[in-house]
Amino acid sequence: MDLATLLQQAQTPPDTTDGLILAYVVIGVIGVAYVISLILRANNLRKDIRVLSQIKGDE
Amino acid sequence: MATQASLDNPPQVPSQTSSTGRGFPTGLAVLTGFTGVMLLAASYMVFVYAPMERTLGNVQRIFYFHVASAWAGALAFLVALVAGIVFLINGKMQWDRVGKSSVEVGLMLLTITLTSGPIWGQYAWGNPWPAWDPKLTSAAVTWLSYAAYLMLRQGIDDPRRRARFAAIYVIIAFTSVIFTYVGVRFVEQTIHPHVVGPSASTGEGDFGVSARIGQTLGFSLLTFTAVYATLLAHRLRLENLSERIKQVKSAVLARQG
Repeated sequence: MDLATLLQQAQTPPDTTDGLILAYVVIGVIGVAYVISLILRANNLRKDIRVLSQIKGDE
Repeated sequence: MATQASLDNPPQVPSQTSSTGRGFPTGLAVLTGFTGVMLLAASYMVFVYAPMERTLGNVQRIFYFHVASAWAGALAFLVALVAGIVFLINGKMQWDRVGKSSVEVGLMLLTITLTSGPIWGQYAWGNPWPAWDPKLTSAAVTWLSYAAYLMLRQGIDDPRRRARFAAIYVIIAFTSVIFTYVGVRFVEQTIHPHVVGPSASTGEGDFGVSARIGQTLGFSLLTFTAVYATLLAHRLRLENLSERIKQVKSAVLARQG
């Protein structure tokens, strides 16, 4: 192997794309899970509002 | 007295409709859309605009959202601290709700920091979590402190006592944030590089910040600030709605009883 090839290899960044993908998948999953939890909690509150409106209507 | 007041003047059932017809007000809808666009733009900058770092390769791009989520998490805990202090001064329950909401969003952001960091560390240090590193350990202590805050709140029934306890707790817990973000700079043994200013002599994985890297980091910081503000607004809205529903439930139960 000549010097030019060795230098080129030394300057080529390592392939670490796997780590990048893994990290952004983890970040995405955490973010999406939190947003879903907010949506579920909002839906539960809407159900409560419906029930309370019905009770109020019955009165 | 409170029950009598509720009976005399029962709270109204909160409305489900809004100016957008989609469940939240126009201002919040605009903020959410704006934050979504910023997230897309930040992702483009992270994956396309920012150059690949020579030593670590693509995995260095974790740095942008890792640092930005750490910043937004610290901001969330600072807001909780301010809300706690304001509550202790004026006693308004609204500030307790701001504190609780901010801690919850901050904890989620710090979780992003603490899970993305070790993936980068595996490539930069050959170890995802160097044992007892001051920066990493204090970040973990911060996460545990605020997770405990949310759990301990559930153990106190009286709302005003709970709010007072929570306000004092966030003031004490913020010392761990100060140590993680500022105090650790005075500890020489950390392997974790500093983003702002020179790293400790023991720091590993440091790299030069070129113009494009700086712009991408700056934009990521702005984006995560917007993400925090948006999530806080949504969380606070849920908290306020939940509080009003509790009041209506109490009034209905009191009338039926």
